[in-house]
Amino acid sequence: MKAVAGSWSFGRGAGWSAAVGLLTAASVPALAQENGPDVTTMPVGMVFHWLNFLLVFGVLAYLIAKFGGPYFRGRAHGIAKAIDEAQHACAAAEQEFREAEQKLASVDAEIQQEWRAAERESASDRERLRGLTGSEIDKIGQAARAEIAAAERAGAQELRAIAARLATERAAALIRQRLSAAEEAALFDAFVEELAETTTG
Amino acid sequence: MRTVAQHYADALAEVAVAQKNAPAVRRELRDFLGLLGESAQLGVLLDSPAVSRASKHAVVQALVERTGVSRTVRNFLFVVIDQRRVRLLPKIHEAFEAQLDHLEGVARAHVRSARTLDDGEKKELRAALERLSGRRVEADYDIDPGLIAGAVVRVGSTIYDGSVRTQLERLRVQLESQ
Repeated sequence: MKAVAGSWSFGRGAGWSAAVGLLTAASVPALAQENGPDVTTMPVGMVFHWLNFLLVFGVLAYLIAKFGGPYFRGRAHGIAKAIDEAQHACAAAEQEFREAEQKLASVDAEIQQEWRAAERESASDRERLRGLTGSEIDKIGQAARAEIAAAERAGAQELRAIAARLATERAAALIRQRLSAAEEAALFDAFVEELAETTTG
Repeated sequence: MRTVAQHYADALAEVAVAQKNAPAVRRELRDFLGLLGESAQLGVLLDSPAVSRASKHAVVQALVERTGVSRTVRNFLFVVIDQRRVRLLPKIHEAFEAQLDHLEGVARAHVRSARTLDDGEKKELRAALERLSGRRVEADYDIDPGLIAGAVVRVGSTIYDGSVRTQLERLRVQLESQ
């Protein structure tokens, strides 16, 4: 509606301007066709000259008053609106900036918290690993001691077996060497007596 | 569970004991088995189904007449041939010996000694074994110098060990376990 009214006002102003222009253009040739002295240098010419000036000035003033005000008001309104939007954008940016700062501050706090938690976990892991390592060392030590003890027992057993074998082999050799026929007969008799005792027993 | 060989052995032992000629039967059967062992062809002939029963009998009869085998053993051999049990003869003989020993109250002993035993020692040992087993003992003897001294006697499945070698072995085990 505003645009229609604006166009209607502009059309009406244009009509007035055209009429004034035609009147001025029509009067100038009429004045020029008259023979005689130059009217422009005459008082009447001067009056018309000023009248023409005032008319043109009035038309220009009217046009400026008619169309310049809304134009400049519109421009001022647009500029004010742009300024207002810019202020809003600035406020929003500041708000975002503050939120970002807050977030950054909380991120720093979180980072510190995570760092402390990681340090605590690392310390507990170190303690746990130290404990496990100690336990493993104990187990390895116990296994080594058991293995050494078993090897010692096996070695002792083997030594005993070797010693016993050597002793009995030596004894057999000595018996063969020194056993007389009478002693061998006595051994046989003892065996027979043992059989007889078995019978009576 | 009694085997087929055991049945034949028991029957022959009962007949031999009843006729009171067990030692002769034992000897004759042992001789015939020796002959069978020496001549593989004789065993093949007696065991072959291609040879008639009459021919086998004739062969055995000829051998019996030449070696002077008793009728008891001859008839027994005929039965074994007729029943085609010639291959079982070694087992029959083994079971027969055991059964005859059982019927006669004989215990067989195998004696291993480090040296040759004299008659007195053998007599003493046999007497001790007879008292021990409650049966008459018939022993055979071997020399085993590895025993060092003493003797090892086996009667049936029982072993009596009086050797120095075994005593030393026990001593060795005892020393090892200390």
